Amino acid sequence: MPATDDLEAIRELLAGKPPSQDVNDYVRGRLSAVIAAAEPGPAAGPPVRRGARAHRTAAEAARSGRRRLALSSAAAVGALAAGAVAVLAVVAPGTGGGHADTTAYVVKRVSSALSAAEPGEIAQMTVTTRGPGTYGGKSTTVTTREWSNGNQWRLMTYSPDGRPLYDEGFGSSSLYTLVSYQTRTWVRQHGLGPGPAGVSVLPGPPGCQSSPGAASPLLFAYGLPGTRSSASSLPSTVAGELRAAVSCGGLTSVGRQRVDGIETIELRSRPGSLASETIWVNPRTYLPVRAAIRLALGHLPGRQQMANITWLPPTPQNLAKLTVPVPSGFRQVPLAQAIPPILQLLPGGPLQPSKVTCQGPDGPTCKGYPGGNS
Amino acid sequence: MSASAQPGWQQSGLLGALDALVSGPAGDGRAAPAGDDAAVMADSLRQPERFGHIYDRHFPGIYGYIASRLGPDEADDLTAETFIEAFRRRAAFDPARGSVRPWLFGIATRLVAQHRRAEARRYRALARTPAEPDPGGHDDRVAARVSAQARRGPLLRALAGLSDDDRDVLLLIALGGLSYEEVAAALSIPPGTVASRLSRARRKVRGVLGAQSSLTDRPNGHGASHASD
Repeated sequence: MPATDDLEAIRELLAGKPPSQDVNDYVRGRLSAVIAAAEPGPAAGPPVRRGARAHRTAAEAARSGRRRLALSSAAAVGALAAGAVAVLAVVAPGTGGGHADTTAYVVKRVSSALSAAEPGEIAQMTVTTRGPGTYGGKSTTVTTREWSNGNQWRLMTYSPDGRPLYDEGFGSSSLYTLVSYQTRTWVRQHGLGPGPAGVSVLPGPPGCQSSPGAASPLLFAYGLPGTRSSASSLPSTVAGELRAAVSCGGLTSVGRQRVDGIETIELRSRPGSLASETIWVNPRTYLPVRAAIRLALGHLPGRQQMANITWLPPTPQNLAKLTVPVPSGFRQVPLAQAIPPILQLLPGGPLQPSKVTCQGPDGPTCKGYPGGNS
Repeated sequence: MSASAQPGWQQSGLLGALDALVSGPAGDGRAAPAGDDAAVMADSLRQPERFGHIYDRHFPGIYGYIASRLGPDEADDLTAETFIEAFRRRAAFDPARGSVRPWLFGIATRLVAQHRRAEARRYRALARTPAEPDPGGHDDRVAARVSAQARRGPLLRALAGLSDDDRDVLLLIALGGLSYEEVAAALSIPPGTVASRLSRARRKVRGVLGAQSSLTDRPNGHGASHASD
């Protein structure tokens, strides 16, 4: 091969970064779908070499250091994707032919849209969780509202009757703030970042293996304020999880459904899965607008999560939603004092009555509360 | 040349070591014995999943080639389509060709040809992007940056100004690392045609680089500002 300065100059000029694991997973997933469809019998596994199991285990181990295992109630979107990977078996759907209706294509567009939206738009999620308490408490409903943008995030947790329980967030200056409306205290501390939990449940991609027993309870576990595991996923994390989910055959595009006046694309987990998961995508922006998860464990009552997502432009008013305000009269305390026993945070747990009377972002406001117009 | 500029990318660290342990010296596609590819392709007619070995062996090289020409946004889909098309047409692969590599690059090049506008956009975008300095002392960095920036625009214009056929040959060699014979196989043209196209393309590129060198090779890069005007 001729190799002189001009060829070298061209290589230096045009060569980019090596492909990421997500890219490899995506390309492999599309090819796997085609290969699986070509086989006369049941679909075999993806086209991986011998020993790939060891390779994937290593990859998984390498990634596990970056992943957090707890997941908040507000993590429905990330949980949807990650849960699909964790719970579903490896069966490649679709044709993989590259036309616009394939799951791979839709998810890739969603992934790109999420990545593109992150620097500018603010993801606002309202998540409603219904079901029994984690430790067997009575069935209840908890609502959270979350905003995320870049590395900033904020999460508000409300009691079943709509009272604010906690307001926490991680700001651009690496400052973590937690306000407890139950104890009328607040905490501000450096070093609790770097941001919301990298949403994932065991065993995340690229393993694609099914392990519902380990994954599902975590999927619905609540994060705890002050532990950095309480917030939901960032759009970039969700994007990666979505790509992995589709490469593992976890999601299938099943058609269109009208959601809030929009004819959305519906992506759904495989029938018969332990966790039924659905995501609705705006076909114009390819951003998710709703996600739902339903979990049933044998004869036990299931738990349901529904997340409605809106994407807000970065106006000063919307950017203010990322900041946790401290109501006047609240007392600053060390972190440990602001967090009550774990059971008090969980659905069905002995929630303490609050002296704060405001109803949340869209209702009457507390003093110092920024309001919730969206 | 930086590691990332290699025509084929290697995994590094623990994953790379494990990869090598379990799958042998595959990686960038160059080390794979040609006979293996032919045998795997033949096997894949009866056992389609065997085609996964072809993917594992050639993915980094094919992705790198496409990403270098069109950018990462287009590269993942086109890489997937390259392998999907190769899989669907695997019965047409002639084992006498030996390695699958030139055949895959030929498919990739035909797909890239359907995205000429994207390639032109990439060149324009690169021309607007400042060159990254090489490590070294301050003076070295300044000189390297000035030199790289000075030749960047003209080189991109030279590439954009080549005929599609000439550019394909030049970039298969520069980015794909193919030999004359492999390029001939990839594009289904005679080796003599490869030689003439390559000669024509390199003459134009060298003309640009030579002009830049004559300006930027002065001490401390003086004169480069004229070149970039």
